[in-house]
Amino acid sequence: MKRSTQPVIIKIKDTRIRIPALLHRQMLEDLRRPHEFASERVGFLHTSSVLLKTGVLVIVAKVYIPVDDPDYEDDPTVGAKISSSAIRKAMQGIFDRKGGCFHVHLHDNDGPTGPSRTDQKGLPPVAESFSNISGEQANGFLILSRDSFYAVVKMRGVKGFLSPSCISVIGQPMLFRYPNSKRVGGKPVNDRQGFLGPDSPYLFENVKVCIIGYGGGGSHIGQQLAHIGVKNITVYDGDRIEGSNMNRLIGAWFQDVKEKLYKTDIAKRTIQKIFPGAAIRTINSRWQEQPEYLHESDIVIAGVDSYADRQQLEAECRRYLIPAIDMGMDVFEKADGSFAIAGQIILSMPGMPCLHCFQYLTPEKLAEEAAKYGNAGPRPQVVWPNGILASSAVGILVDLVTKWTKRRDQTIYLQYDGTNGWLTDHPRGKYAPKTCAHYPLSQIGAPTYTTM
Amino acid sequence: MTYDMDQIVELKRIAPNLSQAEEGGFSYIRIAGYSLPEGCMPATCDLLLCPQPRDNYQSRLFFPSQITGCVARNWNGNIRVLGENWFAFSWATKPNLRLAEMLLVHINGLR
Repeated sequence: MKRSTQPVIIKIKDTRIRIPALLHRQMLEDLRRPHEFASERVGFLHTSSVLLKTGVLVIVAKVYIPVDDPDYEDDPTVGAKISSSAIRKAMQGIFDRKGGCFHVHLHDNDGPTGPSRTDQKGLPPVAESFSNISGEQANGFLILSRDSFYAVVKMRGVKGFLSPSCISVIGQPMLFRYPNSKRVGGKPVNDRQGFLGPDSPYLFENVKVCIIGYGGGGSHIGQQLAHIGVKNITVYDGDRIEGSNMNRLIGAWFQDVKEKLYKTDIAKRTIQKIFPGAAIRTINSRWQEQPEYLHESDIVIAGVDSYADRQQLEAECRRYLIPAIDMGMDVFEKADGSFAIAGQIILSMPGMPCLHCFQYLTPEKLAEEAAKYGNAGPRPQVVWPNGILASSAVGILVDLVTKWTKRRDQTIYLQYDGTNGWLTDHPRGKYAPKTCAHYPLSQIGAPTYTTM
Repeated sequence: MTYDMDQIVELKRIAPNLSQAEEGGFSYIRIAGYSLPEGCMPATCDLLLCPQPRDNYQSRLFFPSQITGCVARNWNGNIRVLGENWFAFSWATKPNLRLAEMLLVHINGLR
């Protein structure tokens, strides 16, 4: 059979780079260290990239390796000149990690940055060299400023270089930068939420939020995101509305039950009536069946029913560096025959404690649920605790996006006592380990198997 | 998670193409191109063995799809592990089995 000599052409419609906050801090600290003669420092950010079925390229940063001091060459005409030995080490890292690599340096100023003439001339060939040896992985160069980025991406099979639409730092506080997006002016909808910061309209315009489960909790989320002005919303739910949902599904009409509408149809109608400019994507299935839309998202808010679903979702979100806000409630019958409402809101932030660290997920709970085949039967649910939990989850999301509270590195595990109306910090949040042993940074990105 | 070399050697005599990965505190062994019992469809597939307690089972074996042409079992589908969707049927194994025995006990559930 004759082999085709045509190069494979790949179409990429969007590129997103995600960097763990720990690595971002590490890069800034390292690149600011003085060198004996070089006026700038250089490092290499090793990454893992996945090209989704949707044509979106997601790049997650895994390891930052500084260039060793002896690998700089004394050249006063440029900020930093590194030796071929430094490049060889980076290439070895690409082989060892089966990933991609970005040349990184710092322009130590506030605000947007871009390549100097020297960068424009010298860095694309470095990215191309990396691309030649790293198969289908993305490579490139990244320039940091104190609070922003410039990056270009090289992918084999793609002509020229790609400009990422979003570069984000995943941690607390989060940092979102959209290099191709212009600042948007305030609209009347923003008049009363100006305290969220001058960037908040631009952030709400660009951030991609995913709602998993459009039930009692998710429907409050959709409605509130629309009021806030969050434009890009993906909603997963495979169920059609039933009469028993009418006590709590915000935006549902009696007629919807007769017409057996998908809950996602109700989501779309509700959100677009409030915010006609919203870009709603609705997926009538479990996220596991079409995970690529989840992978594209910047933040997830989930109202799922089972511990097993939470476990799977958290694992997937950690892999793609997506913060996930879990919310849930239950009604319990107490020993004296009375009832109590309890719930929780937990932020699962990559690099920080996970649901296992918080002991919200335990082998015992997962085993007990599995013993019932995940079927706990129809459980009592009511609208007002859903509303409280969902509102709090939206508050957490808005803070992550806008940083208006200036909160840093704080774990969030709120417990809800619906009988007394209390929402308080759970002690397990306070005493959770600071770093997560269940999802180390080494395991982010596409799974890598080691031959036995 | 580390395994005894003699157990891996023994498992490789049944399933030579093994690799391992971890996720969420669980360790998994991927068994590439395993031949399922006669009549099963597909006849060959990759398997994912979780040799530690998970989901109320002492160990679990995941398949890339629901296997047909064998005894009907209680299957659960689209379980997301290591970035892929897997299927598994309810099948209890005893604790402390060697890896090879563990795999074969699960596979016998298809007969």
